[in-house]
Order: sequence, then C-alpha cells, then structure tokens
Amino acid sequence: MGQTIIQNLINGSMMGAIYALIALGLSIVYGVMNVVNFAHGDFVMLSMYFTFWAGTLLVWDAVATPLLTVPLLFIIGVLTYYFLIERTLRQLYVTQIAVTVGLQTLLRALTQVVWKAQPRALQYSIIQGSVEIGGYNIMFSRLISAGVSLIIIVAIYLFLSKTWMGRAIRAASDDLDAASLVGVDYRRTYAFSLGLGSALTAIAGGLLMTFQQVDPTMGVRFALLSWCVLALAGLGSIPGLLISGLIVGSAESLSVSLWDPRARSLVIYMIFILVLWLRPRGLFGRK
Amino acid sequence: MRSKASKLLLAVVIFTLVALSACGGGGTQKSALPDKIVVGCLEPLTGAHAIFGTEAKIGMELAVKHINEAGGIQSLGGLKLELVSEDAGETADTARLGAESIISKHKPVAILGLYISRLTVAASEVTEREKVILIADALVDSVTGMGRQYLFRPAPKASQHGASAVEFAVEAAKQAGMEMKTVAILNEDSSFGRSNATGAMDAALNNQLTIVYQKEYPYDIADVSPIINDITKAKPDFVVHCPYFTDAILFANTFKESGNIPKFIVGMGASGYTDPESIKALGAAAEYYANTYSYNPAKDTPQNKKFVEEFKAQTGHIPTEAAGMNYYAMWVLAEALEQSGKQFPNDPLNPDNLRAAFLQLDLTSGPAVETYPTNHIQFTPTGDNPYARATILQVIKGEPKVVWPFDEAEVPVVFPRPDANY
Repeated sequence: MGQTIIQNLINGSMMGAIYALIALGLSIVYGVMNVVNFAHGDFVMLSMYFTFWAGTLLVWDAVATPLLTVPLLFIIGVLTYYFLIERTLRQLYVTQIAVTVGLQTLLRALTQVVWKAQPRALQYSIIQGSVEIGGYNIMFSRLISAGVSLIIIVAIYLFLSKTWMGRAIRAASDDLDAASLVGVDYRRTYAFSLGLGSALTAIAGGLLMTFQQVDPTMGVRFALLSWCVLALAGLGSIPGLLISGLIVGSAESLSVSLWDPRARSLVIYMIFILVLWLRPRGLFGRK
Repeated sequence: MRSKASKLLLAVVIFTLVALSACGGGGTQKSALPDKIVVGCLEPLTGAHAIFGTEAKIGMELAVKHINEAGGIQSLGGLKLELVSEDAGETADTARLGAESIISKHKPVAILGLYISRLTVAASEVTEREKVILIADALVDSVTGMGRQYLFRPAPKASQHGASAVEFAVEAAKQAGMEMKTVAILNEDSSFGRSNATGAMDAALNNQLTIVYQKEYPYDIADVSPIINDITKAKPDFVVHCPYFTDAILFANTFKESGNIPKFIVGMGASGYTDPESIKALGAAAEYYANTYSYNPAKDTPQNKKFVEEFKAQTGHIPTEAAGMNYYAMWVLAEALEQSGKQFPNDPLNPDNLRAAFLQLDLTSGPAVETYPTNHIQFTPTGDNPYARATILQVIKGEPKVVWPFDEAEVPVVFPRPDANY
C-alpha cells in the first residue's frame, strides 16, 4: 500500500507541474484583466493540435514544437484581446462569460472541422521510455515535462518580478488606475498578458503531446482542472500555484489508483468546493 | 322530425363509407408500391462520435449502391433503395429529434444506426411509436432487452465481444503451448464497456481463470499511469480491455512507455486498438495489439472482397467496424424486403409484415452472409442473432489482420507478444 501511495504521489506530482503551468496562464489573464477566460483549456487543445501539425507536417519532435507554437499562440492571444476581449471589458460579467464560452465553442467546432473528431497523437518523441528507481516506475515523458514546466514557472516568476513589463503586469493587476498614472499602457499590458497566458498553453500543449493524444473535446477538461488549481492557490502566488498543481495532480492519481477512476473529478472538485467554502481567497492568495 | 331522421341516416351512411374505405376493403386490395424504397441513415455525423457515424454512412452507401447494381429488390419488381441521412448528434435529445425528422421528412421503411447505445435507445422510442424498423449497430446488450418490436441487431452484442476476447486468448495460448491462469479486466465505464466486461468475466470464470485486477474508468481519463502501475503489480498473464477510442491510444502509449508489458493485451468491442485511426495515431506502439471486431474484413467471399476493395479505394483503409456492420445490415434489410415481397405481396412494406419477414430470415448464403462474421443469420424475437460471434484482428507490421477464429485467419496470431516482460 505504501509503495502504491508513493508511486501515485510521484505520478501525480509530475502531472501536477503541467497543470500548474496551464493554470499560470489562466492566473495571469484573470489576475490582470479580471476576465474569466473559459476558453483557456481550449487554447491548450489548440496548442496540442498545432503541435500535432508541426510533428506530422514538419516532422518536429513534440518537445521542439514550442519554438513554433509559442509565438503563434502569443499572436492568437494578442489578437483575441484586441478583437474580442477588449470590447467586453466594460460590459457585465455575464457578457464576458458569454464571449469566452462562445470562443470556446468556436475553437471546438473549428478543430472538428480542420482535424475531424478523431483523436490525434504523435507517434514518437525523443523523450520516451522509463526508469525504475527503488521499485518506482518513472516515465521520462512525465519527468521531463514536469521539469520543463518547473523551469518555465520559475522563469515567469523572475520575469514578473524583475522586468519592467512584468512589474507593469503586476501593477495593472494590483491597481489599474495607479498603474496608468505612472505610465503603464493598460491596453498593451492586457494584450501582452493574454498573449503570455496563451503562449504558456503552447508549452504545455507541446509537453502533453509527448505522451497524450488530442481531441476536440478535451479543452473543457483542462479548463476545469486549471480553474481548480487557481482556486486552490489563490491569485498572486506563483509558488502557491505550483503547490496547488502538485496537490491536484496527486489527488487525481491517488483517487484513480486507490479508489475509483471515476472519483477523480469528484475528489478534485471536492477540494475546489472546500477551498471556496473555507478559504475563498485560496491557500496562498493575497488578501 | 322527418328531415332530422334523414340527416341522421345520411350521416350514418357517410360514416360507414368512410370507415370501409379506411379499412381498404377488408385488406384484400394490393397497396401501391412507391417508386423507390427509402432507407434512413441516422448516425452521429457531428460531435465526438462523428468518426463512427461517418464510416457507418460510407458502409451503407456502398451497400445501397451494390444492392441497386444487383437489380434492387427482385420480389418487389426490382425496386431500388434510396439512402437518406440525418445527424443523430451527441445526445439522447438530438437522436430523438433526428429520428422524428428523418421519419417525418422521408418516411423510410427502415432506419440504420445509431452506433452509440444511449442514442439508439432514445431514437428507438420514436421508431417504435412510428412503427419503423430500426437496424441497430449499437452493441450494448440491453439495446435488444427493452421489448422493442421493430428493432433488430445483426452484429454480435457486447457481451459476445467480451467472451470472444477471453476465448481467443485462451485458445491462442494453448496453440502456443502456454497456459493462461490470470487475467486483468479493464473497461471504460459506459454501459457498453460494462456489457463487454461482463461477457469477459463470465468467459474468464468458465475458463477457470483468476481475475487478478478489474477496473472501470471514465473514457475521457487524462492519465492512465496509475492503472498501468497497478496492473504491473497484479502481474496478470493477459489483459482484456474495452477501451472506447481515445483511451485506447492513451493506454497503448503508456504501456509502451512504462516498459511493463503483459503476455498479451486484447481489446474487446469498438475496435479501439485495431481501428485504422488508432493504428495511425499509435504507429509502432499499436504493434501486436488485438481487438474484437463485429465484421471480418478478410472473409474470403466475392461480395466481401468487392466491398473491401471499393471501401479502400474511397477511404484509403479497410472497412472499420462501423462500416462493416452497416454494410451487412443493409444487405440483411434487402433480404428481409425480398422475404416480405414474397410472403406479403399485397403489402410488403407494412412494418408488421416487414418485421415478420425479419423473423422468418434464416440466411446461410448470399451477400449478407458473405460479409457477416459467421455463416448464419437469424433473429430471435428480441432482435439478436444467436449465431453472432466476433472475429479478432491483430496489428501485425502496422496492418490489422484477422487472426481468429483460427480457421478463418488471414495470418497466424503473434502470441505471446514478443515485447512481453512478465
């Protein structure tokens, strides 16, 4: 039993790091613009399809595809801001929700038209195989994906705390009026934030495609997972996001193995509800 | 007073005449035949299940083409079939609406579809009410267990798939001089997966196998590594698995990456591991996987060769299970129409007569049998074929090949898996 628990904690933590990376993109957009982007999970799905294209048409390995998909998703994010999100900023919340849910439906329908309903997977990645350490099986694809996610999360943390643009994003997140007074261009900052949040999904998409397949319906799964990680962490704490990702990933893995695979969502959303009930600002959120 | 009585008399006479004309003169008059026989294709053509519905439709179209080329329905003066289609969508409501729509617009004599069991159950409420024959390609056992009068299913039901998967593995092991003692049974948690697993469990117990691991999971599961790790710990001789589609890819990739492979892995139902799309998505990881199939693409008969050839020319791959099932289902319908034409020449398209014709069928030759997994088609009053059985395909050098039943095998089975390590 002990070995099973540790094995699941290893598996779950590795998946959790990727969930934290996806949730980081969502957190930046929500934190800065106060916009609930329901299409965030579908950006991950779109990134996975772009990864599939790059892998099959250009014969790139999935791990290399972010070189192409990161700028692409950044541009898509920026365009989404200027053409869609900006128009909803002064509207009611319900309008913003309708617009991002509409975008989600549009992306899902679009991928069905372009890539059809069947799942797509890349046949090969250089990071395949596994290693047995002390009786525990560690798969390279998960291990390297978790490592890369961790590096990107640290890089974003440094970017937000050390660069002018990063500080502008945080300032806009804290107090938009004060930030505007000191010369922060909110339009540029908002567009950049959505671009950055989308670009992070491109990295996650590339990593996920080293061991998963993509289908048009999987965006919702990532959207809900990343919302759960974000709610657990609260806004404004990147280390909190990482820890929350690890908690969600481990809870998912343990519930699949020790209880019932169908209980996975139940366990995750029970955590979600409990956090919202007991600590609405999250475990690590700012006051 | 007198005028009131004559008005009443006139009304009685008119009513009697109308009633008599509605009765068709006591049923002795021959009902006029239409100039073509409309058949409905009601499949999920959009949404998550569109992959199956689209293939099913191609199978139906080819069958209609071949039936018409062969002269149509002889007993009905060579009447040709015409296929009309409607999208069944993804939900019970869309399936019900699809059935309403196709019946009201086209008045088909029969509908083929809807691949997904819950859609089939929903649409069958409408087809029963409207008395339209529904030839189902959904495999969940309970589809034919609801007392529907106008529903038939030529294909092997899910529990027959589960049993075939276990029996195949036991026989293949015997042939290889091995003995299978333990099995792990996995299934996605729909009623389809559960029907398959029930058949597999019964067959495992009948074959004195010990079930060392059993798990149900949701088909949209994101990470299956916990399950693979648990299977590795349980160390079964072989794994019987009912995946849906995307999960088959996930399991095969994760098994490969974990490096812990049992002696054999056989899929049951829905052709998850041997479907051309799965093989394309998995590449080398698909090798040696086997799966039950409701259709035998290697059946060495003229009709089957013709179907496979034309299907391949159109799509670039061999007929999928959905296409195969609907190809022979359309031929079964053609045989039932022939039978109805002979048995009920005055009203062959009447749904009750057509139903009686279905129940009279006892086919051991002809195009339907030539494309059917066994050589016998007959229907019980519940609508199933008691002689149905699944075939087994195995991916060998990237191609799905029929390996069981052994006497109909295209190539010898590769058993155990060369990459097995426990």
